[in-house]
Amino acid sequence: MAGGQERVLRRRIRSVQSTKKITKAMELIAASQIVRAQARIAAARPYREGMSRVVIETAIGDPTAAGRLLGTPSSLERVGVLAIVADRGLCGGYNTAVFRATERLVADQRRNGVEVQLSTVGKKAQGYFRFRGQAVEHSFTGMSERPTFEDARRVARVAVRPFVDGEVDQLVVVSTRFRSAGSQVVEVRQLLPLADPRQLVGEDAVAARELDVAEAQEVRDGYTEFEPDAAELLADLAPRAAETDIFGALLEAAASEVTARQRAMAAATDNADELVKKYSRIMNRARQDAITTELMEIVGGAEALRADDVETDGGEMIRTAV
Amino acid sequence: MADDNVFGMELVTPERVLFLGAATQVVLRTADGDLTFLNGHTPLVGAVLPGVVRITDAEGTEIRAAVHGGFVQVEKVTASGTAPTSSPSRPAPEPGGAPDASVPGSGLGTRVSLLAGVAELAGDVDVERARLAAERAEALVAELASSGRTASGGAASDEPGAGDGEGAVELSEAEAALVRARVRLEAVEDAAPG
Repeated sequence: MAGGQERVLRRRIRSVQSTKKITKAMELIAASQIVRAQARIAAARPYREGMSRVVIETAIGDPTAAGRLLGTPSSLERVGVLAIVADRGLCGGYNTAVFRATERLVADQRRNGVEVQLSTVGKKAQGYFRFRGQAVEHSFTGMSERPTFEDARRVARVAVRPFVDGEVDQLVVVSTRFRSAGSQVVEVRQLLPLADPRQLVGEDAVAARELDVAEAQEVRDGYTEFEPDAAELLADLAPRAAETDIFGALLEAAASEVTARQRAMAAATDNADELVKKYSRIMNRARQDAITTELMEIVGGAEALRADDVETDGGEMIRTAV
Repeated sequence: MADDNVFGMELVTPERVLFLGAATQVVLRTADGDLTFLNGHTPLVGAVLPGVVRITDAEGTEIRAAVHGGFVQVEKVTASGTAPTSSPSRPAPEPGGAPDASVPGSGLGTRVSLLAGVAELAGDVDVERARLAAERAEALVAELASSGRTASGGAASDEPGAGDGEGAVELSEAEAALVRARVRLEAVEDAAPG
């Protein structure tokens, strides 16, 4: 009977140990992916920076051309929201944090009478929003851990079109920003209209730049040439810039995902260690108890037999009892 | 700076930097025809059409790349190695005035940045694959064009507003694929004899 408890514990320890092997492996895989994901962010940086330089240049070059492609939309009636999460779980609060931010955003917009079109990246989002009866316009899966630019293009084609067609006034992305290996934060960012250069490089810089342009115009016609003209170029540029931003968001989300997974799996491995220790202790105590009980029974039995012998001897009884 | 004719050139894609360094000449395709950039070119921002880009580097070697559309920016780079875009009101910002290695052509007068969503150097093109892709795309374009408005086809999509629009999307994608394949082949064929 005592052996029964021991067997149960031994089985549980074995199961915890095999779980630990899995979490440990996932931890190591995630750790190696973090490095790669960070390298991919770094590799994309020249392109992202180049793109924002081009946008700034074009936007400043012809401020009248900007129109609804730049700045903050004057009136909001419909907004497109793109939420980026993981395909898989086992990454701590990574997905939940994005879901919560998305739901808050959607609720806020609804309260203000703004219609929301939600699109998602990541398998986890499908299940989550379907379960909650939140309509999802488009959902993409199979790219969360290793997004390619081609993936970003596919997402962008679908997410950006409503804005270009004028169906939505704003495109917002909810995703996790990879600030550093130690810090990832959920962020709600406006993708379209594009950020006003005033916000990107600062008022002074823009003012100085405009002055520059004006001066140059006096010297010869046009400081920076545009080919085609700035308005047309900006219309061309906006979807490309949004695509680049989506790619950046996907890359950072992927890096955040594997980081979150590595952390969650490290915690799970630690916990498994602790459980094994705890169960072993209980098991050892149970075994020791069983042994002690058994010994007591044997000793008791022997003692009883001896007592019987002594008793038949008569007289000597008192000595043995001591 | 030894040579007056060189300028900073970068050809970048979202996934990697294909070319970064000094160049003496860059030829690329725009809506108005081919454009050639030399040192001291006027600042410009332009849309680049799919085509072969030829970069002549400081040693005079020509580097070809298949570029599938993108944007080009020509900037005047100030002596400190920073472009005027990064705020002239804050002289010498983060890089601290020292020539920044990450800025191509720092110390050079002009910087040309070519940003392409998809691009590859001629040497990296898989000729066989490109040829097959071209054939496949050609067939697909022909098929889609002939079937015309009777779209809807196989793709069982639950997207709203699918149907008619989808055929057009498919066709434009097939055409884009065809252009891509042809540009790749062009880049290789040009490079082969030279």
